[in-house]
Amino acid sequence: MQVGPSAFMALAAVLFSLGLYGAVARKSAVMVLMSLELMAVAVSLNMVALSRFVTPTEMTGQVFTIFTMVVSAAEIGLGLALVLAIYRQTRSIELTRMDTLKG
Amino acid sequence: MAYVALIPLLPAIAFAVLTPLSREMRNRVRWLGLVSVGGALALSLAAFAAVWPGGQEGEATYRASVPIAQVGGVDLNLGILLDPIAAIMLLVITVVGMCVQVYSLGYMHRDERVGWYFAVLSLFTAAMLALVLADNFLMLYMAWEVMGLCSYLLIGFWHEQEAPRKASQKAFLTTRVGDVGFAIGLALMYATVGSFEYDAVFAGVGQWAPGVATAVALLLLIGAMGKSAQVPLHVWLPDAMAGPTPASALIHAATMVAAGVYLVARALPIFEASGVALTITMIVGVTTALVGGVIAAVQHDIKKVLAYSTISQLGYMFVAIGAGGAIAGMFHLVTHAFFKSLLFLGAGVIIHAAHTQDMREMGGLSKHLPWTTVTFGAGALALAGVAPFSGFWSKDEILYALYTGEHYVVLVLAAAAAFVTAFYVARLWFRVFTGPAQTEHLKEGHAEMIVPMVLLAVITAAIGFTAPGFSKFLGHAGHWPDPLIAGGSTAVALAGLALGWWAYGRRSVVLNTRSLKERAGYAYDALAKKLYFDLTYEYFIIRPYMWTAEHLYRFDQKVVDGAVNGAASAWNGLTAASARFDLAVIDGVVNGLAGSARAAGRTLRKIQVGRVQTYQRYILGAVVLLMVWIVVKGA
Amino acid sequence: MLSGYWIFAPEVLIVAGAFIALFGDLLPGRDRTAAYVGAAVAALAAVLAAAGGTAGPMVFGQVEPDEIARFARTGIAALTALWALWVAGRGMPDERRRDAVALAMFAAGGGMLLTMAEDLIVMYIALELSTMPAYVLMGYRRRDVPGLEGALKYFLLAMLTSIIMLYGMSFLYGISGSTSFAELALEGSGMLGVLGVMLTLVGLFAKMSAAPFHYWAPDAYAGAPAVSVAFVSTVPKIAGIAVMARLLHAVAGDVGGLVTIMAVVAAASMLLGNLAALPQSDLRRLMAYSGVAHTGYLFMALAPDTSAGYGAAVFYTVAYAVPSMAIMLVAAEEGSDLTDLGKLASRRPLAAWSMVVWLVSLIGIPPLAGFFGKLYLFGSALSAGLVWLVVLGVLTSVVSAGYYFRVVREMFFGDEPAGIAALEPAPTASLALAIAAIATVAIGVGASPLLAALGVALG
Repeated sequence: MQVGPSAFMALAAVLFSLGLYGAVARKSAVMVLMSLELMAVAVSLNMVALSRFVTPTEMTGQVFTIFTMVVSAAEIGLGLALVLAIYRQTRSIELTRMDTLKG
Repeated sequence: MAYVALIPLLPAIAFAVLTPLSREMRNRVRWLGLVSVGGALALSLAAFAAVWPGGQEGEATYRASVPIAQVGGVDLNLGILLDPIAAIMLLVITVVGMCVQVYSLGYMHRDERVGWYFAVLSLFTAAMLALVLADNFLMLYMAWEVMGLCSYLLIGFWHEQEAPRKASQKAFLTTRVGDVGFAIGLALMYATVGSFEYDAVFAGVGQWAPGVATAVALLLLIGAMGKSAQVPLHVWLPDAMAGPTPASALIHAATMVAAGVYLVARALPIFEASGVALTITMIVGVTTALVGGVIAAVQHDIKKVLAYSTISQLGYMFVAIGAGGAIAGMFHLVTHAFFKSLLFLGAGVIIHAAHTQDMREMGGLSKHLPWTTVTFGAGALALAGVAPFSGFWSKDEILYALYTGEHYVVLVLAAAAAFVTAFYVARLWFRVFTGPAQTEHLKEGHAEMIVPMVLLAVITAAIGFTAPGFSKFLGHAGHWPDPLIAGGSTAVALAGLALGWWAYGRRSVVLNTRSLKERAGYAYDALAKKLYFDLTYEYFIIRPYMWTAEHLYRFDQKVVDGAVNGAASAWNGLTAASARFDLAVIDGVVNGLAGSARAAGRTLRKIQVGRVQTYQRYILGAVVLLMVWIVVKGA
Repeated sequence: MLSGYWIFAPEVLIVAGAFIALFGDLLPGRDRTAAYVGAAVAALAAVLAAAGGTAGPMVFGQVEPDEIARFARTGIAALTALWALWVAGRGMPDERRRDAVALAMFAAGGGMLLTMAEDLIVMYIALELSTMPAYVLMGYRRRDVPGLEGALKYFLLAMLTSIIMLYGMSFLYGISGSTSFAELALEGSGMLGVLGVMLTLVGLFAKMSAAPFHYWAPDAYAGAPAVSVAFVSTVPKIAGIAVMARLLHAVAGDVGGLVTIMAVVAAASMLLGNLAALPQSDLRRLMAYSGVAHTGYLFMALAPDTSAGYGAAVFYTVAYAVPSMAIMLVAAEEGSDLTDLGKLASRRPLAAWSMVVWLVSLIGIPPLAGFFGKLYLFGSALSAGLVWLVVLGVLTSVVSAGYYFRVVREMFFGDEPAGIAALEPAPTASLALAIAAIATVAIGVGASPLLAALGVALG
């Protein structure tokens, strides 16, 4: 059986949607961060697959993926630091409780 | 001729110099404003001499422009255009401006922020001069906005008090409604022509798509209605009287409020291309002339009487332009600028002397304020339209324009407005100047207040005779008053004055008998006064009426009764309705718009619930909507 | 004129300045010196960016320092210098100037790179580089729960939207086989191409706080120190508008419906921003909504694919950023609640009058920068036939006068807040504010030569 790019794109779409659901639905800030990471992985999968099928001789997609992975690792680190700082003050990482700022 | 550019620049420089100074320093050098306006006056005279003898309509004596910006490859210029109409406006603004500045030296001398007052007054003068010299609509609009700002600052000059603060905001917001129309009109004009310059806009006005000329004209008219306080955007002007009286004289009587009239006169080719817009202008004008006059007749505050009178007279100018008599409208603008600023300055002296603005607490001022009485009298007669004072001539030209344009209905309504005008002039006169004095220690104004008033009174008395020359200067055939119209308008004015005398002058005759009896040694109190009033009423109205009634048939009696009551209740109803309309509808709409915007804001802020995941869901929803749109649209 | 790679001297300088500031402990005078060095370096970078000239595509076509980029880079560097100058005078909360200045300069470097981006990868990296320091600036008070909460919200929403953007980018890459703007070949790509462009734009919409992707802004601003808001609400916006102009120009020919989407987002932003700002009593939140509204005005000019529109938008971001930053800096001095500004006119008349200049410029009253900026925005939308949008823009800017005037009223007629200590004089901070006031007037007066420098097909 020949596996085309659409199969990879479909898988990426499923992963992306799962991550999106988690980001919207989970209460814990850490779980939301992990869900966002899942979405990033879906994007990486999309890019690497497309790179393989669209420009097999060049590595553009892979290079892009490496950049996104580095950047999102840095971002997640920053996010965790923020969550930690909040946890130190309030002893809670539940996003639903963080609603003092509104209006 | 480059000195023309200095005319608006001089007062602007005075403002720029005065503003950064400390308050004490600014108060000390307040004469700077006066000097700058004096310089502008001298240059305006030179400019006027250069334009003389005029005669060519729309022909510029001097033009210059500097590009300031570009939009889509088209230059936007700050340009100066000196033509007959601009030359006349320059003279009016600088003469009235000069008089007001001199007068203010006396009127405001005890105020601790007098320097700031003169600075803003100078900025206003600069803006108004720039407005009449502009050669394109964009510069006109910019000057227009600066004037609005000055008006806001001057109305709210005594911002420690509640009323001026509220009035200044009301003025700013109400005129802003008009400005939105103006701005949209300019945008539409620019989208059509690709230029703001008068020449370029007017050159192709005949080829505009159908409806565009009407739309632009009506949008400009909305702007003019806001600035010139036309019904239904007139509500800010009476409240604006909370500002210093000389500022009211300059801004809210002579110049700024006339800018709307000037705008319509300038943009006349667009209005003419539309046709409908001219008719609407006329309708708006005549409505305003009547409503303003009627309300003026029931006001007790002397400045409010003059404010409503200004509204009514501005309506008159709109009527003239709408009827095709733009020259007549402009001439009324000029005469009105002089006699109304004179009346306001006089009112300032009266308020200073009587320590009140309520006319019911005044009376008998003629004995104590001789100069004011004479000069105010000249202004009042001009306003009422009595020959040979200026108002007679300009009003006559407007009525003549209506007559030759065969707008007979409007002619009758305008005559009715003239009648009401004469009526409230008489009412004001008899209440303020005749009868017994109610306050002690009445003092005439300072010399620096009296001199400008005398100057304005002389102009008011003399300027009417230039009527034919005025038309010729602007490039139209001049004529002397038509006997029919002149006779009719004089009759209407005299009838109005007579009614005013009948209603208010006669009562003061009765009151004077009281003072006669006082001399005879009788003691009188408020009760007695009322008694006499009732007695007069009984002897002069009720008894003859009863007597007549007895001698008439029942049917006749019913007719007379019904007519009298009907007329009286119609009059009452009309005035009450106008006042209610003012309060309920206009204020309601203005407040309602602001309120609904606030309410919408309060509702919208509820979206911001504070929970980040709710936000994420909103974003998700927006993205899904976007995808649905893509699918529905189909690539 | 700088030739060859020297044209990137401003970016190199800014990043180098960021490192110097980061290690400001080693400098004599320490914290404060670090801020001064940052301000000086950023000012030099601004001069170099302005004088450096322009060039065609460089570095394998990944960046293009053209006229729009030159204008935006100059604006970013100059505003960063202004901000660092103020920080040198007044300091940050917790007295950690050097970190703040270093972070701001990293963000400015990222923003300057972003304005030149001609490649999806460069755009993504630069975007993240300009955003990440902003999270830290927003949560600058480490023990302040609301500030951290706002920063976390900012972070989560920004991350979500930037992943959505990446997802869109992956489609764009998949369709055209290249990440370069110039080689994006979307014609005939059908819905996938449109989807890719739209998802990519969502990330930029969120970054520019355009409705309905603006939710982070009001909450994050309201929690953060006003001085951080001054930077985050202005400088990244200039970079964002510049790169949006590039991206839209690259795809507008191939993708239909962009005008509609941009116009709808512009309309939503103007309406929501201006209306929701009306009932606000916190200056930071008020300016957040005002920022949403101004994004709407900017999008109005971006919607039609015209070079005059792009130039107008970039010009207006700078015309908006100067007063907006200055107002937040005053809020950082006086307090962020509207009542904190009560009777400011009698306490600090110069500051109060400068505030009036900035607010009036934001309303768009001539002859200040905001008026000319709006004139160009409305003009370019008009020439594209978006009359309804311009009418909406004029109407909502009337609404905006309502809340801006509330600030003026508070400063002149409000009640003096109780128990305020007299502000210590800080000449450097006052100098920064004075420069901002003069610049607001100067940008308005000098609109014509500035736009000529933008080089957008004016003639």
